[in-house]
Amino acid sequence: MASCGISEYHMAQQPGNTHKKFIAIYDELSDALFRHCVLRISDRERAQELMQDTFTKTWEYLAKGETISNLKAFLYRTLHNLIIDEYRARPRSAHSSLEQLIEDGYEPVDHCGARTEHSAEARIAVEAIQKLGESYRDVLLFRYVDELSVQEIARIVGESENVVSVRIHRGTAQLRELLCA
Amino acid sequence: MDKEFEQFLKGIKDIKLSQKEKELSRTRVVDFMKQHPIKTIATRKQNRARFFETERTLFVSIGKKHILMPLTLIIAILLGGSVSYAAEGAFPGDTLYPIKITVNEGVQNLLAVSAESKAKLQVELANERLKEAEVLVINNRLNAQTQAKVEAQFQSHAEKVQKLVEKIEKEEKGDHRGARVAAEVHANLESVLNAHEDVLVRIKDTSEREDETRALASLILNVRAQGEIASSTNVKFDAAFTTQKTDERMQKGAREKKKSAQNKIEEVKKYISKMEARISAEASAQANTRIVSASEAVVAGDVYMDGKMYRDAFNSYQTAVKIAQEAKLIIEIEKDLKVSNKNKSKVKESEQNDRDSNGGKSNRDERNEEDDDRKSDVQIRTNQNGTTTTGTNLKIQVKTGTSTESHTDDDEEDDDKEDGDEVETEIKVNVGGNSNLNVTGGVQ
Repeated sequence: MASCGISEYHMAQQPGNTHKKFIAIYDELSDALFRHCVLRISDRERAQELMQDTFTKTWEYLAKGETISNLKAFLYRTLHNLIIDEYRARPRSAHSSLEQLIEDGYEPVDHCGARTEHSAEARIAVEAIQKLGESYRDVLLFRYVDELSVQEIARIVGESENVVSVRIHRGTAQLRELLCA
Repeated sequence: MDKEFEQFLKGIKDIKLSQKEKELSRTRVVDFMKQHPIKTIATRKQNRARFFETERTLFVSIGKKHILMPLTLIIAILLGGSVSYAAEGAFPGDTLYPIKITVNEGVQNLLAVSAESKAKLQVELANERLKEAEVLVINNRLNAQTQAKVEAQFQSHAEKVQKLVEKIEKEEKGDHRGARVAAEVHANLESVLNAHEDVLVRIKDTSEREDETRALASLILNVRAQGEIASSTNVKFDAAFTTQKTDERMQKGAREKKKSAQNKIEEVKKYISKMEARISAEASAQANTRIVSASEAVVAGDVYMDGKMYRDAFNSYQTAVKIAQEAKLIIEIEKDLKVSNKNKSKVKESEQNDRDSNGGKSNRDERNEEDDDRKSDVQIRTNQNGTTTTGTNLKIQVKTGTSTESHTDDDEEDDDKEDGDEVETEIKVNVGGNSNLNVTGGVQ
């Protein structure tokens, strides 16, 4: 796992310090969390909001005087839960199947890439991601894009490490097929 | 790792927020952090104490209320998070109330990006305003002035919802999402309005003071008017749904709505049975009636479904969700009111005790001693002076503003206190010798 500067996070004794470090973490991880979110919910504005919520909710938790031992994993778990809530709150619109979206004349790249210039690689990557099965997509994003360890992913998605490893393996194979096709 | 895979990862990493979006988000998060400072256990306790006492007495000494508006901003900047935290529990008429609605809720508004979340927040805030009005009634503080404040705020929230809904309606995110979200927000607003209307009417019926009854009547009229606006615009959304081309899609939409209606009803049923012991029989009866009608609306929807009238089915299910939500809100409001009622009676009780032990004369000073904040304040000052100027009398003057809280005694002195603009209490501390604490009460 790529270290994000802080692995131990309990410094309620020095609020000023915590404040600074939290902002540093924000600067480091906000892009990654946004990226993860936009790839899963295909709505740029909502993804930005959920990313913000992830940080504010985590901060609220810290402000209560709680301690977090692995902040990066905690942030991802918070985001994961927020995304799941988002799915539940709107059963169809946001994460409809690709067929449904295309039927409606919806272009996935438009939403993820709207307003920013995107490379050809990005477009291909997004298309591939959209075609992956949901459970594969999530663990692959966690593993390769967010560079979390299998153990951390297992805790985030609430499955055993074995299950996660198998998903990563099968997902990688599926992704290769999609990319080579 | 092969080439395609590397390219894939490179492509993914190209997705990010624009510089501008990133800065905006950062400001929002940092603002939020300032608003929610890290608390030690001690400050948390103090803040809870502040909820009912300090916020009103500590700041009133500044005096004239009209200079408080610009001052609130300065105070907010100087004291940062702890004030806005304390302001969370403020009500119309309190010193910190302007901070609550400008600073705290302003930050919340900043955090909402899309029109959808902005609209949902405004519904939430309209709900909050009405709850405040109800708490004011319970605490016997609703009068023409506080009612005007609450009502103006409430109306502005409701109007903002209407505007935002219009905006959402125009935003097409494919698949008539705009119209559907707009309908959902509208239904939320309607549930809030209907639930509060019932609660307010119930409160009004038991109200004894005339100005309170009048204030409540005005508020109820306003709530009703907004509710009518909301339900009349719903017709427009029905029209939007008819433009949906395929029956098939409409059928799918209706089926999903049914599912969410059933879920909602289940959820609210559980909630009611969980809360039953803590709420009044009237409220639970009101909620249960609504659950029955919500279930009936689902059955009606099923009939439409069988008749392939998918649009009507959709509307029926939507109504079911709305009614169930109303039931839940009624319970929530009731629960919140009970809590504040309990707090209030606690405060009264302690005031009563003070009066008993002091013959009603210097209960204010006595209460100061109970207050952690001010107690420590006095101690620090005596200590500081004790080291430098021993043997002198130190005067601490505590000015308190007009108070209507606790003086219900019949004797004249207390009446004077209520009428006079300022009450000055003098505490003499003899630092030298036995460090007696000499407490005298005086009236200017």
